[in-house]
Amino acid sequence: MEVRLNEELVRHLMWLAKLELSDEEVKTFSNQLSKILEYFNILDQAIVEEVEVEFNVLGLKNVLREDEPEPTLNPEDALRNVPIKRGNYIEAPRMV
Amino acid sequence: MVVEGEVRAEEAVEVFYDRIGKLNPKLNAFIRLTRGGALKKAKEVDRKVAQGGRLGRLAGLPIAVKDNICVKDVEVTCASRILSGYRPPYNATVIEKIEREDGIVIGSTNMDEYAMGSSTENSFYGPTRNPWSLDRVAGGSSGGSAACVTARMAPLALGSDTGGSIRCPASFCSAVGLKPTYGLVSRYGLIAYACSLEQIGPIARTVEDCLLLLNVIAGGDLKDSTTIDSPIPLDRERVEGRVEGVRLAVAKELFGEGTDPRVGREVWNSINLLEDLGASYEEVSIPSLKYALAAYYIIAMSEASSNLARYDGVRYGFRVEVEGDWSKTYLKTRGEGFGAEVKRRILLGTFALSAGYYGRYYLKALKVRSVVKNELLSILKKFNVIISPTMPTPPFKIREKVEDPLSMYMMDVDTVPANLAGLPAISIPCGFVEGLPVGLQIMGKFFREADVFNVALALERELEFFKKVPEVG
Repeated sequence: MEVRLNEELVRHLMWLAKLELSDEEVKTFSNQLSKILEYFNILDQAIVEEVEVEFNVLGLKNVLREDEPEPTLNPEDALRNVPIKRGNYIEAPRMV
Repeated sequence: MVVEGEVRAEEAVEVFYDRIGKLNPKLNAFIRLTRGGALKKAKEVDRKVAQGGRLGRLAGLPIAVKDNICVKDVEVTCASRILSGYRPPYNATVIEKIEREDGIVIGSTNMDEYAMGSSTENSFYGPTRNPWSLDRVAGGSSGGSAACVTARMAPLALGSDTGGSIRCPASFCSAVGLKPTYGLVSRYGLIAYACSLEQIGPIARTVEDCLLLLNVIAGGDLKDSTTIDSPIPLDRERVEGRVEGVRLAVAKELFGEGTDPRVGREVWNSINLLEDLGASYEEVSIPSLKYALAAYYIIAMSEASSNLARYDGVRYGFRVEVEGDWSKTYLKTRGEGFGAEVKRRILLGTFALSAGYYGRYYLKALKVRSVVKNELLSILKKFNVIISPTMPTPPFKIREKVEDPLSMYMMDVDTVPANLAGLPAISIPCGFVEGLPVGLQIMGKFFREADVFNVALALERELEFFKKVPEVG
């Protein structure tokens, strides 16, 4: 089943990933990404139905600590790199 | 020499900065120097020596750090415009460990943006040049770290390896670079690209120096829940460089059709040398390796699309002010802040994780990953290590592959299996082809860095490539 990363799909991905591309970039990326995807399709040949999905190579799961408060970054340090602040709040762009 | 009081740490550090001043303009290995902090630390070390205080294992040693590892209050950018000006309020765990052992961080090294690349050409700060031939790439993404070590601008460096990013530049620059077993070294303070694949690792001129730095940075960390302590502690005594009875597997898929025959020849010379020293080898086949590169890239790009979603100009870094809502700010900030390769990978990762394609690409890649891991482990039941070239070719020319991303990805064909499986793998210099370095890769079982270092040391003793110094000119 052929999937083409045409310009329309690239623009959709651009919107999903919030990555603005120029028209030039949309065109170039459409060509480059299609070629790469064609290579990725080699995975269609791999027979893996019975295989378990692993998210961690060491088999680690649920690595938790006790729910005890510990010292951590103070607000001043944590917010030092924030471009637009109001007191101890981060000012984010308008949502609605 | 510093420890014995023959040379003061402060003088040693100045000697290196002097050399950096002369060579770095040609190589662009360092993108930031931390002279103030380094001299302060050097003075502390000198004071300890004078007072007979306890000195750490890295006392007085200048260390270069890849620009994706956090050093408190020092600008770190992942060689990207989008993180310009970011100063982390904390040290990476590996930096804490280095400082505790009196190591001296002297500066940040150049890299492919967000560690995405195999040539260090994708940097906001321009490419790093290969010290052996200035018109060639240094490899990537830890190109700056490998170049600075080989050009003697620092004795030790830290890199990170997600799909070969330590081993590739080590091979291209004739250095020793190790990707540790996944989970051996804490990723706390490593700015994430693909969390299930990457590790911080040491780059040095010699096997012994590489092992020294690894011993300092390794260890389980409560701040990184994907780490565990090595079941068998790394023991220097057991790395003797003796290979009698060691069984080497030579995987034919890692000498695939893209491999330059001259590279193959250098690697085979070393395999034969190991045989003369008492090891034995057998050619094996690992069929799933033909899917490894595709599986690696799908997983890495998918994880990257998630990890890089945080760069939106709101909490740190570069930001474009626009009229309108959050969507417009994010689109513009990320559009202008990220370079082309980063954008490509985020888009493909977004695609691979999106509804309708997730099963065919991301999930499939995860399953292939398990198959690759199991096949490698199965080979390693019968053999101690797997040997191969690190890179299929000698270092290529600058700009040669930049316009053709797929041709660049194909460079990683021999290195990605170790990341997929989480196995330790080292690259050591094994020869030169027309003056350009060739690296040999040794891959071992989980937490068997000692086996990997052992074979590496045996070869190094015979080949002595650390004696060759590039004439940077």
